[in-house]
This record gives sequence, C-alpha cells and structure tokens, in this order.
Amino acid sequence: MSQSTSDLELLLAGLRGDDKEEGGLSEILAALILKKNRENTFRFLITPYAERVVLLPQCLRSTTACQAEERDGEYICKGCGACKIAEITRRANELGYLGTRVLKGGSAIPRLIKETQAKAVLGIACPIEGALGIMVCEHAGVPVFCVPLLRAGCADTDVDLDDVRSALEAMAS
Amino acid sequence: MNDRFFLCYFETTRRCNLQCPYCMTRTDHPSPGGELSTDEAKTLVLDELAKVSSNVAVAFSGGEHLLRADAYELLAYAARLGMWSFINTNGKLLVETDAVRKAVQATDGRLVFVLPINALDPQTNQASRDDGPATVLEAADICLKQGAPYFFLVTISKQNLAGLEQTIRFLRLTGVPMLRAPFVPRGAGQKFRHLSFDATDMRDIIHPALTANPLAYISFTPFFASPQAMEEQWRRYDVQIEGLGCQAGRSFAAVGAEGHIVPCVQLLDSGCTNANVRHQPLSEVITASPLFTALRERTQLKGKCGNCRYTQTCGGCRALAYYHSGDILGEDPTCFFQPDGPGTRSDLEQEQTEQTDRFLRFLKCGEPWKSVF
Repeated sequence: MSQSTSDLELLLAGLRGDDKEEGGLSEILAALILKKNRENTFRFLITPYAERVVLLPQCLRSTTACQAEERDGEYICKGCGACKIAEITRRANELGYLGTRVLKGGSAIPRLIKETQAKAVLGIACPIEGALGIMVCEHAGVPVFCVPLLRAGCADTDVDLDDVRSALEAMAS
Repeated sequence: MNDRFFLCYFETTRRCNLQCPYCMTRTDHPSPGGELSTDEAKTLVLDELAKVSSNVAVAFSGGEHLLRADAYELLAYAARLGMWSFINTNGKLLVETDAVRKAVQATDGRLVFVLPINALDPQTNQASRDDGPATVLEAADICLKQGAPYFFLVTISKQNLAGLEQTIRFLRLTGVPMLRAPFVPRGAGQKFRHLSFDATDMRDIIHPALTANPLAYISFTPFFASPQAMEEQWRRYDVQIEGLGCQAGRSFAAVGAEGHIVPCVQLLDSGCTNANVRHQPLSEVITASPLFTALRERTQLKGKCGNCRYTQTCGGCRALAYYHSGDILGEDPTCFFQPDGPGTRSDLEQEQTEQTDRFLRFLKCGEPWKSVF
C-alpha cells in the first residue's frame, strides 16, 4: 500500500479482502488502525484523562458468566470479574476517565460522544469494528486511539491488558 | 570503500535550546579549537565520509543541529553527496518554526527525524529531559502531516526503567519504529553515574521489553541471534549494514562539534581516542586506524565478550565497556549471559534469530527504510 492510499480505500480493500498475499483483510485493517493511531497520538495524549472515554466491545464479555444488564444499546457492567472489562473499568476510574462504556455495536458511538462530551476516545475493538469506529469518531471530530483485540470473533474475545494499560495511562502534558 | 559502513553521528554543535539534566553533549569545558566551520564540516567530515562508503548516512545531532546558521546548508550538501540524513532534534524548532518543510526541501526528502522520548508520562520524561513529551509528540504530528519520516529515540537509564516496557508497548501500538540508546556518564551525565543500568536491569526489564517490540531497531546489546542464521539472512535480504549488535567502529563512527572522532557517539568527550578531523583524514581513521580496525575485527575483545559464541554478532556495547573499565575492548558490564566459552548457546538464540528476520523484513518492506538500508 502506498502512503497516499486514502483511508477509505484501505478500509474498502480490507473489507474486500484485497492483497491476500500480504495477509488479507485483518492485516490491511490492522495497518489502517496503526496509521490512524499515529495520526491521533498527539491529540489523544494531550487530552486529560478526565476528558477521555473508553469504549469497549460487548464481545469481550464472558458468554457464560456475564451479569451485565442490557440497556439502550449498551451493557452495564456489574464488575463481576469474569472478563477483563471490570479491570479496565477499575483502572480507568482510578485515573479519572469520563467513563467506560460497553457497546452492543458501533452505531451507539455518536450518541455516547455527544452524551459524555468526550474530547478523546480509547477504543478497544477487532480490526473491522476498530476501523469503522475510528471513522465514526473522526466524523464527530474526536481523536481515537485503538487497542486491537488479541483474538477477534464475536464472542469471548480477548485483549492484552498491558496494551490497554499502556494506552490508558499514557499522557503527554 | 566499505559499503557496510552505514552511519556517522555528527554532533555539529553543543548549543541547545533545552537544558536537559544529563545531556551528554553539555560540558563545562568544551574542547579547544571551537566548533567546526561550515567549510570544515563539508570538507573534513561529509566529503571524507563519501570516500568511506557509497551508502553512508549522517545523523546530524547536537546540542541542537538546527540552531546552526548553516544547518540546512549542511543537510543540502549531504544530500548532494547522495547521503541520507537523520536529524536528531529535541523537536522544539519543528513545532515553533517551519523547520520540517525546510529540512525536507534541503535534503530533497532524503531525511528521517529522530525524536527523543524517554517516557510517556510527563513527570518521568521531564526528570531526564528539559521538556514534557508533548513537544516531541507534536513534532511527530507535524512530520506525519508533512510526509517526513520519523522515529523515536528512548534513552534508557535507571530513572525511566519502571515505565520502559509500557512506553515501548504504547509506541508499538502506533507502528512507529524506535531506537534505544543507553545512558552513559558523558557530559552533564557524569554527575548522574548512579543512573547507569546494570546486568540485572538488562536481564529483567530492558532486554525483554526491547525483544518484544518488532519495530525496535535491534542493534541493542546483548544480542543473541545465531551467527550462522544471520549470515544467511544477510545474503537473503541483501542488507547494507555490517550487522546487528554493537556497531561502534564497524558500521558507525561519530564526530564531535570540535572535530573529535570516536567509534560511537556515546564515546565523544570520553578521551578514548585523540583523533580529530582537523589533524587526520576522517576516512583514514575509520578505515585504517588500529582502534577502528580492532573494533571491526573483534579478535581482541576481552573477558566474556572475547570468549562468546556471539562475539561477531553482538560484541557487547563498547561504550558501556569503556565507561565501566576504561578499556574499550573490555567486557560489556550489562550483559547477563554467562558463557563457558564460544560453544555456549543462549536460551534466547532462537527468539532473537526470529526477531532479526522480522526486523529485516520490516526494513525491506517499505520506505524510507528500504532506501536507507
């Protein structure tokens, strides 16, 4: 991919599964996420914790043990600890984040940004949802930093807590 | 010509617009003779480097190179000689002036900015740098918007060890390469000798953090890639640098503001050589001086560095050896490997051989690294 390739072209190529020899969809979308992370690093890191929100995918939940309540396109975490959401929420709260929200799908993002008045988003997502979520946040004028899931799929996914912690805690000023 | 000689650090000035606590260039007693003039920089350094290798790059550093009145003239001169330029800058002038555009124009795009960041939390970063991380991150943002390549330089000391793994992890999530530099007690750093990391820090914190990052320039030591596998990798990828591990005197040399020549930038002002571009041709010192020859051949390394399977592919950090024992050929005090002899393999050999492969593929898969290396 040349450096001039537009984000939309990258995304479409990823969705079509182009460049199979380079790994196909996942790798192209992962490259798009790295690119957007680079572009958003400065704005994300100069935003105080108190103006950042964490958006988590519902697929991180434990399908067998989750006690979260579903409400208005979100899951309200009860902190049972059966998945990593409780730990991420705990650390975000300690740092003073605006909040941690567990989304049923990306369509809730514009409403959440408006509702929380977030100035920056830390998103945790699979390559496809991450790429789409980044576009939605950018459309709303909010920089987003994305930590990709370790294991995608639509249920019982996983994320590296150390990666999340590094992004949660990073601060430039 | 030795086309595997790859990089000369050129500290063109000691002047700086920051006062970092342990800046290795700042000294109360600069060498006599004054800074190299524009003509000296061109003829005694850049022209001489062109005689050493057709593949050489120059890392313009300081102090703050961009404070020199002839900063862009020297960049343009290097570019006319076909050289790539690295600009090691604290980033302030990139944020406050039109420096990125001017540097890109002067080098015709043959440049890479090197931006220092020691931690991604303001307090830790400012304990070692006279600035928060925001300036450098904004400078990176400007480079990105103007299409100028850049990477981050993390100087490692005991002061930023606690957050090192986390800093490297965050940088990896951006896909921006990073290079590590060891803190050495040079310049203002002489008063901070206690911040030098040791073999335990290296084993428990630094080595695992660097090894885990596929985008780190893996010239760090100790380095345990298989010598046989590396020979094969070098043929397969047609790499232009001499090797990995310590490159002091092999692929690297350094010239100070007043013209001193040493095998590695960490060794400027250390007194390890008396060579000076004003008295001896730089090309001769690099290609024929006994010290550079010994560092290239590595047959005289002492202690465990001279009795190790990885003598040629790692060699131990020559700067850390010198600051520890006063002997540039001595053993690296930060190495945690205890070989019985050249037959002993490190448990990390396979992992670091694979890391070498990933790194070489990264270098060869996109610009500017493909052209630089």
